[in-house]
Amino acid sequence: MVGMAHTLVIETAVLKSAGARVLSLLGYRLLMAVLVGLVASRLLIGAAP
Amino acid sequence: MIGEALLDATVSGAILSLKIAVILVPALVLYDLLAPLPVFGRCGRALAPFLARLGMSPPCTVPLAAGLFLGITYGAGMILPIAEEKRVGPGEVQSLGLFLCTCHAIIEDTFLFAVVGAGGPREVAARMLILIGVRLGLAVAVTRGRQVWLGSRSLQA
Repeated sequence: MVGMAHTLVIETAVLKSAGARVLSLLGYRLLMAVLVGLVASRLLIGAAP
Repeated sequence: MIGEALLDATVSGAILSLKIAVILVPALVLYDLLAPLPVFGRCGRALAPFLARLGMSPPCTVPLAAGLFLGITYGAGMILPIAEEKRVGPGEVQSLGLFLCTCHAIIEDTFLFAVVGAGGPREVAARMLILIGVRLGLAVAVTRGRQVWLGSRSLQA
């Protein structure tokens, strides 16, 4: 999960300076971080007790 | 208490800014020196079909490689000039951003996450391979998916 979404402030600022639409990218990153975190934890670690 | 926390945050922020500047400034100078070399043009042309499927053109090669290996923060020195030079369109910048949001700093980040709680070098290597595979696969799938979706929308219009 943290692999997908970290250093959000600095990285979002860099992408905004580059000209990307950062709000959609930020939303995508947060959503994908939760999704990947959920799926990866179930697959690689196991279900919560 | 609050003053101490503010001071700590200020000092940490200043140190981080210095660290970024130490990496960013030489990277920018190196980019300006190396970007005109024909080898980058050749790499860009060789990767052109793959990049086109992801909605990017050959000028995106250097920022993509910088983001992929150095990360978005430390690779900013090579990512930002493409916006200043206006060599790529806003759609391409968005595709680049989408790809790099999903997968960047594949060596440093992946190693940091893989090493936590690992039993030995073999486990670290196995975890790194899994993490790199998942992040790269997801980045390609999402960026390609955006292209397909945009293509189908333009066909409908």
